[in-house]
Amino acid sequence: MRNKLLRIPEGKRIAYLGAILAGLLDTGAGLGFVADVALREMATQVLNDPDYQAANIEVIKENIAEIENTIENFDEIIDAAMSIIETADVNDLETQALIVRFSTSMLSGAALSAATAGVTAIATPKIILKLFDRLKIKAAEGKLDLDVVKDRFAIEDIKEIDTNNDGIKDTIKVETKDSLSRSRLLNLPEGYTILPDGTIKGPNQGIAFDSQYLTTDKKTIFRRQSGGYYYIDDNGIQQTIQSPRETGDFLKVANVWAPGVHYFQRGKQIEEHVWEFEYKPNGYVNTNKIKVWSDKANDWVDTKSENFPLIDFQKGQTVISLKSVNTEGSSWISNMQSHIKDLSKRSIKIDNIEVPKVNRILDIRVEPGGADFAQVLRRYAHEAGITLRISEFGG
Amino acid sequence: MKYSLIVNFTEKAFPKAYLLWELANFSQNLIDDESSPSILNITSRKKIKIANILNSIKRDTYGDDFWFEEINNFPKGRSRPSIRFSPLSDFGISQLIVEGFDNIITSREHWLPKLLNHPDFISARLLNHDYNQVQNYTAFGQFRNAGLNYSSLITKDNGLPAPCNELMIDTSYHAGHWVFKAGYTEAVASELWLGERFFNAVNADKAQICSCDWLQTTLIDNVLHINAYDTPFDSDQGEQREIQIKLRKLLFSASSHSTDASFANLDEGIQIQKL
Repeated sequence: MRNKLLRIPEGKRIAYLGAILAGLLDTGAGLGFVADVALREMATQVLNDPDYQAANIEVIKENIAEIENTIENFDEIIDAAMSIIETADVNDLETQALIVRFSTSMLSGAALSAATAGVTAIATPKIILKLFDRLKIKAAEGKLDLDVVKDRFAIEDIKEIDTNNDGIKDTIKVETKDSLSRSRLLNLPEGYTILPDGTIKGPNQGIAFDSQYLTTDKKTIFRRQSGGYYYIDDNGIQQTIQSPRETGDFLKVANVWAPGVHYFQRGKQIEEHVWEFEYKPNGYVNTNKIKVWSDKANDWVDTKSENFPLIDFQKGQTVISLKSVNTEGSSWISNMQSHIKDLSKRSIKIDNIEVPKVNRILDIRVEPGGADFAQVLRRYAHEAGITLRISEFGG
Repeated sequence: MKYSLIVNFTEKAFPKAYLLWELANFSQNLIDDESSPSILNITSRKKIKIANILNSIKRDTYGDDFWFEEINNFPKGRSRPSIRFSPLSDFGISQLIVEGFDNIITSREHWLPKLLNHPDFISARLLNHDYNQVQNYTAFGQFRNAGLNYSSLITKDNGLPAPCNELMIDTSYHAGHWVFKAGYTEAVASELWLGERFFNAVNADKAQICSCDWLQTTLIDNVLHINAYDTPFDSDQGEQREIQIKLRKLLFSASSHSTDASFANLDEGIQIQKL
């Protein structure tokens, strides 16, 4: 049983697992293991009746290992739900399960990208709206402080709106708080359409998607399906720009460790900062900026992340793998253990010479106050023969 | 979480790591001695039933290592019991670490002899887990976490280019430190098993070791079993300190890989104190 759930009494633990399953099924994440239908039934009963049937509890128990293994962001969900429950001091089991289910919906699959991007999300299931409405009812009953939920997910409201003024509400809109960089509406001009899968169809039928970056003046940067990046200027004209990943020229959040900041944004922002102020001045090469020869293109082309899956910076026979870690979570230790193993084990060659293990440096950036906790990793690096660098970022 | 047992083989001893897992019968040992129905596979970062471990290692892309940890609720900053194996190509060795599974380590007579008899066996050592960790701390944060005073310890430059350059604790002054060398690990323990490959690598005189009256030695199937103290070392002071230093000099002074055959740093009397 996962650490997070061990601290929760058994009856409540099953209810939470059921709620997580319901949230996953709600958002179409899909589980694909045995007893799926029974679990859906179970999950529904958990929400509606705390005295759920014993038979269904057994189904959950028998499948706990598979359930936990299936839910990749399990820890994040439990962390989010528990922080809300504890902060808002929610004692009612039904409300607690509702919070867990809503957290799951928000943190899984399409709902996550919709919520963090602040897009008008046709693809987002209506269940998120229904769950949010139920949370509002619980708040009205005095069982929950809704602001705690809003703050945790950096959302302002979830609404159903009529986008084409035909009198029928056709779209779920997740309004996000403007304090985070991802929180804005796309504000697409006439001629652009948001397709059901979340991609954008332009006036010339070109397909693009939100790159998850904003220009420094808060305009969405789109990535064309055919490659390349653009934003739409104030006159509605597409302006082609270089990859923000390459240039680092995108809007930054003030605090990368703040609740609601996605690890993708956090990692990119830390990487840009560390590169600019630490490794670049010391003559390192950024592997994101290396060009490699492509026989297909008959030219030097930009590298993709898969070209250098482990290494971020390199200088001579020294290579750096940069990782950001929030030690408040629970899965970071095994994630970093696995990464240490990879960094030690995989063949890394510079000019066809294998890089010595001691020159393979795992550079970990943790939240303020977290550096000492991360020291637990040092002995694993030592035993694997690689070098570990731990420091705090921000704060 | 009291003991660690570390076994070194040559680098290519187990290109298929499941053969080592099978040889040591770890699945059955985990079930019998630790009552663990499942365990955390660090490679996949997923929980796995003990019964499925062997197939899991076989299915691994490389298949030349494994790393399993107990699933429990350890306090923040502490490590978990684990069994792990990995080749270390830079040193031409591979290393099996059984750590914190104290029942398996205590009942080692059921599985360790098979490993000692392997043709690629180098050495094995039994350790007090916490003492072994503390003696090999290199970062100030590790000492702070453990409530230890590092102000009087010797530091050195880590030798890395900027911006990674920083001071670290020089563990060569510590009685219980270990360091990888080509073909072996330079380390001491109260209980050691040393194979022929060890003696070839360190150029030590087996007869001289067997003649030491302060050691209990037994030669079984060409593996020298040494008992230097009645419990795993847990102190860098007094009699234990003397034995550890004496043992290190006895085993490693003749090695061409020892940077200082006299191990003069150990004579500085550096000890790790609590805050």
